[in-house]
Amino acid sequence: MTIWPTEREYLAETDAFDTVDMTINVGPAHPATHGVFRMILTVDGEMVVDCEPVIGYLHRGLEKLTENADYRQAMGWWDRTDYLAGMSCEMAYCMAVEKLGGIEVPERAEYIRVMMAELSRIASHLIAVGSFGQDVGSFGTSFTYAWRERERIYDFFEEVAGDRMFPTYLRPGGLQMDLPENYEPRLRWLINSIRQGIDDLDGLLTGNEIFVERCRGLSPVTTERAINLGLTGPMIRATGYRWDIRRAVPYSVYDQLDFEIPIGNGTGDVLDRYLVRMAEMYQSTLIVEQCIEKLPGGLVLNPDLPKTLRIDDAECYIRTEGTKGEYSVYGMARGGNKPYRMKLRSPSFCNLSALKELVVGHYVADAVIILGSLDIVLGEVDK
Amino acid sequence: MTQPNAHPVPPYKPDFGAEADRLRPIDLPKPRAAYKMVLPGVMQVPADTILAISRKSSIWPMTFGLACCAIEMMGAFMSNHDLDRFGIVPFASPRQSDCLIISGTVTKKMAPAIKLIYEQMPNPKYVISMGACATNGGPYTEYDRVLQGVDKIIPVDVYVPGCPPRPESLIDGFIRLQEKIMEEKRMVG
Amino acid sequence: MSQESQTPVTEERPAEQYPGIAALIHKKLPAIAFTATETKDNVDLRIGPESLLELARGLKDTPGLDFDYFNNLTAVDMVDEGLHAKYFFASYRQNHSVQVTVVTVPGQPNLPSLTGLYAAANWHEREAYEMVGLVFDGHPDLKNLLLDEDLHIHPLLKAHPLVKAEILQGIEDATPGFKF
Repeated sequence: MTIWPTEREYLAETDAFDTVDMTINVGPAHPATHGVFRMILTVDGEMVVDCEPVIGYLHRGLEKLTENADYRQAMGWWDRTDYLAGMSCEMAYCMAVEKLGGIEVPERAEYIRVMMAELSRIASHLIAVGSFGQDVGSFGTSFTYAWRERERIYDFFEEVAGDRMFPTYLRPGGLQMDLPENYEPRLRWLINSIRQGIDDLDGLLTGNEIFVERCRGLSPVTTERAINLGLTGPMIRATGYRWDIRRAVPYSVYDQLDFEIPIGNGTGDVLDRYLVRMAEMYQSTLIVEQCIEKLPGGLVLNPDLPKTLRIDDAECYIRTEGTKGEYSVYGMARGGNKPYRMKLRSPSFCNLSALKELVVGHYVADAVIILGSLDIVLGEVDK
Repeated sequence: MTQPNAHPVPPYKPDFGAEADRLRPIDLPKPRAAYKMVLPGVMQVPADTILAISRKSSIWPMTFGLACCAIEMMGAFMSNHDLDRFGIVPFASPRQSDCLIISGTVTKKMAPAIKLIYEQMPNPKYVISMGACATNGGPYTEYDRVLQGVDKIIPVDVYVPGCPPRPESLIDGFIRLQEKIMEEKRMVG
Repeated sequence: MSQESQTPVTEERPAEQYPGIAALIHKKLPAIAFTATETKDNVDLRIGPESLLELARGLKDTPGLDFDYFNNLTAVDMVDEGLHAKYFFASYRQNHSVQVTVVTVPGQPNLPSLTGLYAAANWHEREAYEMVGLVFDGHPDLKNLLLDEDLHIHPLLKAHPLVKAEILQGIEDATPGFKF
């Protein structure tokens, strides 16, 4: 009678069953949601063992170009950094130029700026949530739902500011032009429609057991580790830490507006980040409503601005709550009409540097979801 | 805190590595409409017209979303400005798509990937260069890392201007591409 | 930017030499010498490269300062005054922030790396390395981040011209093409 060796004895003798780690290149050309970003994954079976992100495929020279252009001209490049929320970036840049030059902004302009920035935040979160649902497996439905509302926001932007995505509506010193006279009913209709869209997305995704079970417990982050890694925005709010720059270091008129800061359940996992973004969208609609009510009259552009802005030696660092985290602008002026150095501290760049730690130890399919939950936009990452 | 400068600073000489070799001139292949099959049909139209009509009514682009123009391209595919009614359905793989929409700035780091994807596509293939950055570098044209237009590396059929072009402009670009495909029906492979 | 005196700090500096947060930092870390100036909205501490690691460790670990958040690293090319590295540290617990300028001598662009203290410093230092040429000793993987791997150019130096690369490399009249 043949005596077969036990499995353990057989495996100890032979190396025929040893596996080799495979290198998978999740290349720069993705299905077009997250942009030109490359991950070199080393996988053992289905488990990711190592992940090296490679960026720079959209490095367009924002900072070098800004040093060679006028203060007002440079804004055309800055609002294309976070290209999902153009006016939010314009706000940070204009605030930096105003702080450098000591330029005052009329209060009506501040309220309208906040209105535009919050609508941009809603637009950006719609894409974040919609494409995240697409990554998890809703094969385009969540994306189409999100775009329905986004097109309505675009229509409003086009009516008020002139262009859908990058209107360069904000200027150092205020705004380019005032709101049209009968904007209010259309804006209120838009807010209602956005709330309905948020409910639709909620019912589609949060009410779906597959979605929730797939995202729950995936890649949890503690608050201490998140702080050390430099994660900001919904990433750190998902860990349970109630930090928002609009409350901690208030800028513009945010200290006069009443809104809540949603946080996650404390694990910092992928589901928490999604829930934080959904709740933030609703809070932004409340902010826009308050801006409509509190909007004062007056000018929208500082009338004492010279034709060419010349700023002497000055340095400033403006911290704002961008749509994806802390969008901060460091500005240095040394005379003349061109800035000497303007640096962008983008939230996606800092969130993405933590990708290796978040992804290692999960499956390849989950790596895509985790990348989607980071909500990166490559214009910011690559500057 | 500041010491006297004991080390003379050499002048700054940028070293571009092997990039000049990559940018050397090459011969671009000429696109040809390659068909020799003739389908027998019951309608009295020339066969190449049927082929051209069927080819133009079902352009499947490989969405190459690079930057901001990708967002407007996605907006063109969505329900508000529907591209599906023209038969244009996005497809993620280059091997099964007809058209390549270059939407966004092309940097020199990304250029080899674009060339590889273009060469992976089977004939007949078309290229739409969407936006100002893909046409000639756009607002970023002065920076030395930006390719001055995607037609430096692949042949382009339709240029769609705008920064970013509206979805209606992209639809206009597709309609002109369809007209171009109809003109090709007289080309002999 | 207005420049204070370059002499080392002595104990008898009057109070207005430490505006804002600099007074607290000097009280908790008296051994580190810095020059404090005011920017438009914050305080800037100017040090040399030899005190950077000590100051960063002190800012992070001292209770009461608690600068646990590495916010930003900007590398500026001040042409004749060397390369300046501007760090921005912030604190979540105490909700204060400070900017630290490290002045390097032209020809010696070496700085200690802060990746041991803050994991967030990794990519910032790689970007500063490739943009202006600051070298961070102790960085685990100092190579190009945004540029191609085999390029050794520093675009953000003022000496690097803003011109299309074909003209810089002398091949602007060649027929277009890209070989890879």
